[in-house]
Amino acid sequence: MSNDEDVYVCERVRAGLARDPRVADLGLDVQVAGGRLHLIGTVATEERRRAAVEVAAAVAVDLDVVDSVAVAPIAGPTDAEHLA
Amino acid sequence: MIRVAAVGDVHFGPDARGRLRPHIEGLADEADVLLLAGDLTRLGLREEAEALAGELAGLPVPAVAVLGNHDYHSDHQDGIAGVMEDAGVQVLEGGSAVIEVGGSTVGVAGGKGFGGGFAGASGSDFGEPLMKAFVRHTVELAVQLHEQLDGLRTDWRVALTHYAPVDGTLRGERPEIYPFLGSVHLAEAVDRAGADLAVHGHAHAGSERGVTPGGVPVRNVAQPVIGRAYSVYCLGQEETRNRSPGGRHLAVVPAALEETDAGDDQV
Repeated sequence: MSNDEDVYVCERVRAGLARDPRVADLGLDVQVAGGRLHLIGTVATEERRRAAVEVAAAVAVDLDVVDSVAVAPIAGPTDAEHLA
Repeated sequence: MIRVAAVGDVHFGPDARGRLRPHIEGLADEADVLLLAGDLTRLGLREEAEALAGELAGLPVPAVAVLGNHDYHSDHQDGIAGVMEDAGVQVLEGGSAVIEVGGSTVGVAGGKGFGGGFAGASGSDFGEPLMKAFVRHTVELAVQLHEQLDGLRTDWRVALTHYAPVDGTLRGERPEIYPFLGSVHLAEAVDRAGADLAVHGHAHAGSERGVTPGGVPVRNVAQPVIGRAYSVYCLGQEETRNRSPGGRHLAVVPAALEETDAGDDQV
């Protein structure tokens, strides 16, 4: 696959991640590197991570998908910031 | 002193139940008011808002929210707002709220805001109808924000939007998408009316801290940025201050907001 084609595949994956109701994410990074499609970022739940990988694999049918998506826990608040 | 807890972009849904609740239960120990900076849901569905409302049930402090672009996605934004209102969260769409805390008052002026870009590289009210509509939407919301902030006669004033008023809190995002993340018109509204704090979300890969050209602290509280249930910002010392109407704040609507013409370079 040419580099030009990589660009368009990434855009189609990004569009799929936004459109698929199981994901609906605009913030995941999608790159083709070393002949594989890398899905990078964080999501809120395990279900969303699995769905994102499925969407990427369904769109980029000719590429292996590298799942670099983390499920981010929500930590408690840290010390308050005093502004004035 | 007022302790303001804030978080945006929780992107809630039924699959996220239980993620926020443990932190909400201890909220009163940390803060006096909770601000939600938009993108309450992923797809703008009522069931997603209901899941969040369940998480916020019995909120121990007053809460004020604005909607974000995701909350508009399914054209059910009014329903989303209704669910949140039923849960005790005041939803601002160009309005304001006043909250009393221990004899002090904090006013929150809020709305979604919109994009358009930042100083030196923002869109103009020029050209195709779609482009003009895009810029005018931003300016109209900025005018609302200015009017609401300017009308607050409270000890403290906070601007709450989903879109960013400055690019300083977008550091980490790709610069090419800045025009989709916020607008200089929002910063102008904040600076002209005056505020003690501006809070926004939307920029998941941005950074937490910035400042308007006029010196108002700006905080990007998108949950992926702050990495926790909420951030807390303390306004003032233990004693409060009284601000006379007008005060240090300009009561003049800036020309760019009045005339719905940004006057910036065309893009």
